[in-house]
Amino acid sequence: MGIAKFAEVVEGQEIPVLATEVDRLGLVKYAGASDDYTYVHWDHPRMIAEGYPDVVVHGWLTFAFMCRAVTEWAPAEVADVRAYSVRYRRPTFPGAVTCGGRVTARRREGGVELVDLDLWSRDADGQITTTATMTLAEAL
Amino acid sequence: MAVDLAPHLARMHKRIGLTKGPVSRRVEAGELIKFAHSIGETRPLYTDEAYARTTRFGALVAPPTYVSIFPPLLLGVGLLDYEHPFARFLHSDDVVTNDRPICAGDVISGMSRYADAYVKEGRNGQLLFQAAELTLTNQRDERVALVRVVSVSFE
Repeated sequence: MGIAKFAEVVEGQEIPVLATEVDRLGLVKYAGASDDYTYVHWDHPRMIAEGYPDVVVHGWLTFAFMCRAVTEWAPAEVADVRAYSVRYRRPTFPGAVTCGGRVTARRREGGVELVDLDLWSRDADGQITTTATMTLAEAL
Repeated sequence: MAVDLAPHLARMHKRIGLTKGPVSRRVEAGELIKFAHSIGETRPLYTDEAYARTTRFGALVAPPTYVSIFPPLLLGVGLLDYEHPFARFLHSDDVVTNDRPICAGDVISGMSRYADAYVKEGRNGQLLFQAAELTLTNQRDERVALVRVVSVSFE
């Protein structure tokens, strides 16, 4: 359930979990849409030869799902994504992806209401693959 | 025995400050819709031009990670150094400041700068990091985003 007003956000609040699934076709679509043709995302035989179990999901795609978890909770009508810092801790492989996070701080800077978030993404085995911090600003 | 990366790092450090670009892209509504669908985004702000025109953005708006289309355009032109012994690489970090929305009809120019190179000891050996910074500006010469991308190479 999303928020209707920025003022509703409180420290410690959990962001509703977004559960999705990504397959190799999804990676090809993302490659085309983002102009990222790096072989690690589509060349299955080469990745197997390099010792990986599968092609690797684009880090930016995993993070796009994490952003969707945020913006489905705090949509563009309410908040702007002001800044983020993403750490890809281990590769995400095609399969289930689950994203969530929580509010770590509320603050005011230069007259603008801000919210800081900690975000995570887990793979099909439940391992955290990607973490991020993000700052949202109240939409004016 | 671990590969001696010192000469490679020394060469990479000479690259710090090297710039590439500008690369310019007109942001087309159809491309934004295709990008939105590829990340599972179906809400009308991102996919319905008529609806988007009624919002505070006045046009289809790019999802927050749309800036990701620029690193491949600006790093695949010889900015990063691949003359080192590690064949495998992955994406390590992205650090982004979004200053302004990117909307359909905008013309976005990107410049990239070689920012840093460093080595860390990982679970399975040495990790060689290279960082680049991209500055994206719109047709009004306003900065829309600053993007720092870090790639990691390993044996």
